[in-house]
Amino acid sequence: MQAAFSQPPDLPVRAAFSGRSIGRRLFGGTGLGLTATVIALVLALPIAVVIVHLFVPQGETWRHLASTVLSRYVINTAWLVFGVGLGTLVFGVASAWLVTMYRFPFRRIFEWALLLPLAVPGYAIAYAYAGLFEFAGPVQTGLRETFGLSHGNYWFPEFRSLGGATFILSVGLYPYVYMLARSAFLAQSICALEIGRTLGLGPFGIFWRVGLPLARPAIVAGIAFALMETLSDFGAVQHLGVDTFTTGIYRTWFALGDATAAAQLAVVLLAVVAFVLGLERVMRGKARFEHTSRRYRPLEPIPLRPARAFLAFMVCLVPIGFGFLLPCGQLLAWAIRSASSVIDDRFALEALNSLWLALATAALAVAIALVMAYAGRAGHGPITRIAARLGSLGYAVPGSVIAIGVLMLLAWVDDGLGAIARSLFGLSPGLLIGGTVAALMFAYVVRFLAVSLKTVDAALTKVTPSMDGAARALGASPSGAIIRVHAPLISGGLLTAGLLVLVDTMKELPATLILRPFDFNTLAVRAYEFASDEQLREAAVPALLIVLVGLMPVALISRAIARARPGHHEGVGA
Amino acid sequence: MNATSGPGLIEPIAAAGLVLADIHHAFGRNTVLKGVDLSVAPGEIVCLLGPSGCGKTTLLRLAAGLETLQQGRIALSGRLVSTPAETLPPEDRRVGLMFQDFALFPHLTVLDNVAFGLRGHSAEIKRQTARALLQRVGLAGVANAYPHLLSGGEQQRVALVRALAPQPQVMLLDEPFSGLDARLRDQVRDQTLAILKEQGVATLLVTHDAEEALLMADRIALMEAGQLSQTGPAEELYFRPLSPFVAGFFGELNRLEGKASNGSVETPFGRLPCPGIADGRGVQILIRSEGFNATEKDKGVPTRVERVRFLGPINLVEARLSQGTTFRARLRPGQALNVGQPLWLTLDPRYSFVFPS
Repeated sequence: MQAAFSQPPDLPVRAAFSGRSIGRRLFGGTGLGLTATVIALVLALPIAVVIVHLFVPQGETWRHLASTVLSRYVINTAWLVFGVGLGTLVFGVASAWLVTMYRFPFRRIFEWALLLPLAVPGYAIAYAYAGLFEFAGPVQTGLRETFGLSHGNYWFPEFRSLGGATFILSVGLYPYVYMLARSAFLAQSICALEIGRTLGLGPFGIFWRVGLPLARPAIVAGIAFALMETLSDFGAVQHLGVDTFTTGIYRTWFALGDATAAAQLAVVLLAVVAFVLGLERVMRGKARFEHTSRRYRPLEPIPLRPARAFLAFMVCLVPIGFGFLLPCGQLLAWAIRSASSVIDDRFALEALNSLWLALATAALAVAIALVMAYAGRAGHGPITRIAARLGSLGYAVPGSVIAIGVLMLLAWVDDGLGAIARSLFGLSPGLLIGGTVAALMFAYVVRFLAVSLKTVDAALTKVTPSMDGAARALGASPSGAIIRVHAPLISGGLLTAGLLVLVDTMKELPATLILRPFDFNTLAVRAYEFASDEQLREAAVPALLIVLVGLMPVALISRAIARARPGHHEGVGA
Repeated sequence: MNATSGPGLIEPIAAAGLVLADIHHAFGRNTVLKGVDLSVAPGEIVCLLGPSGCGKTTLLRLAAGLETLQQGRIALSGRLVSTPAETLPPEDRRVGLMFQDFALFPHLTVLDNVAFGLRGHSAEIKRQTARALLQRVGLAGVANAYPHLLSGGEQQRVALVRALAPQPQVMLLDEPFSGLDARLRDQVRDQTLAILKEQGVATLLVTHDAEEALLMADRIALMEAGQLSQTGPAEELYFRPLSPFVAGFFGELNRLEGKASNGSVETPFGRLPCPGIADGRGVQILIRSEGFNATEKDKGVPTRVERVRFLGPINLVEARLSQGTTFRARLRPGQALNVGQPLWLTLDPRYSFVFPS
């Protein structure tokens, strides 16, 4: 059988490992891995700059902050984390369990409508509630007129308070818990729930002893998401007058002008974020429940008697009502009255600013995600893996922290460039990058790359390695395989990734406030400025526009949720 | 990493088909292939058989050009395509490749999947060719469907036709039937065999299923831990295994110990030859459970029935010798067998093998 090589052609048979294999093993092949690593390092720089401030000596401002406001930040933040954690848990898990397990009126609509608050930024909900429930607002005025009350002789909850902020963030953020809990409940179906029933558990027994424990990792992950958003929220707590780290960072930078102290506050906030993430790890435990059965039979929801059906209906309606219908209704009512005075040429320009900035950021984030996703696919080199982690760090880091990091980083870069320019040309160029749109986009990409990377990665898993192999064996070159097989299969995922980044960018407030070029406004900034001037009716117009844009990805997610049932055959290009 | 054909790669090689010579391969510190030599002639089907993780898929991927060769040489259709220095990229090798998961492109119709590898013609001619190929395997009716709407058996045939469409001279199949359920598998195997034979293509088929290899292969190459244990026609591996591993891969064995004397060894079923083993050395005797026959009273070795399992075409019988050893025997159900009744067995020596222990 070796006849073919009985006269072996003179070929150099090299040792099994050539020198290039070291680079291959670390980066997983081509220059792609190196590019991805460099990008990830650059994106991690602003966060590193902030962390470095752990070791910078504390200045006068810091001592002032520590003796006056720091304890308030810590206490407020702790209460917010506790309250929003509890609130999102109750709203999210109760509604998810009911729509999964029971049949009651409007269940099908609730399934997707429970996601709607995701489209509304926290500050927009806060503006609506603050206006609705303030002393001169429609609710209190109505109560006074109906019951003949006057100022001071009745009690009414104050929404501009820690409790108000907790409530507003809870109704705005429970969809994260709902989303993950619902898919966890759905996945359980035949595996455990019916066995639970045959073993004699009633409906509550099944919930407490089977459903809830099995879904615990997903629920905890959902709460962690909601708490990340809580910790990074700036607009809502700022408007409601609740002092937290994000408002503190902003004030320290703008009012006191002390970037170092702002960065030191940011380090403390980062520590809180790390604590919450660590808590998630601990609470999730080692439990990663894999279902042993691969069979799936759709869960048949149990019909409810009218009284209970009404109760279930209310449990689902309440979070949607408070998180979406009520605030958006109020914003709409305001916007109708103020639209003609708000919408002018300047406003149109700002809306366009917002849009093109978000589009450019989305394109950039998707392009970078593509590079990193392909680098991860090309090989499993440890450095490439770490690069993907590093690049995704930003999503857990509040926008104001990233903004401070970018600010300081670019100040150093500009100083360096300035020194070079002075020595070469004898002139001072001033700020080159800091205070430009490029700086803003950089901060956005740091913050939102994880969103696009996750989506692009997921899209890329649709192209299995054997499809690559098949395409090559059928005569497609590497680039041919990308054009003929990859492109059509992942284009939908790339669009989704872009859309998610686009919406996040349009909503973003604290980093935009800190980093925007002079006199450069986005819709979010405009809403903030109106609201700061107590022009809530006017603020409603830009806020509502942001909500409208935000509804697009919510529609996408709810469609994906309907399809993501186990056993559901995924269509082509889905 | 894919060098185009340099001077080494156009060196003519005498043999057509697929030739793999002295292949070594390692992933990091894990060596998966340790000097494999294997060739497949045009029109021949060779099954690369072995337990999972023995390196068979790596060998196939090396042949396809999907892995970079570290040591050894690979030739396709008389042309050297892989050396450690140079590798012809997979798209220039003209090999047909088929995966366990079929790897059909989900965004293309069945027809476009089959037409994917056709080159150098107008789109219309490609489609006509693809349609004709689908017609021949009875799939013309689903030409415009998307792959996920097809049954497993249909997907398998589409993948096969797609791989064969560019008329490769070598086909590489990686566990092509393990994604199918058992009832479908036999039928699909027969069809696949017929199509491959009709095309006269050199085929290397990777499988872990001994029965599948016996059914499909002109020759079987049995692999263990990165090395070929034995290569040859199915009967040769079944009746003349070169090692206990090979013997054990094709069925259930009864194991006995013994000592060689005068080129043979004493067993309860008479002396079995063991040429070339020194006197006094310990040997292991392996007897296939299908090597026994039931005979009339007192004409064979007396045993007593301990357990009987009815398996349809055969009975699986556990029989105990008077001195205590238990044997498992597969017997044709001729007579009624009851636990406790005496049973006389003879051994067909072709089913017994002696190896030094």
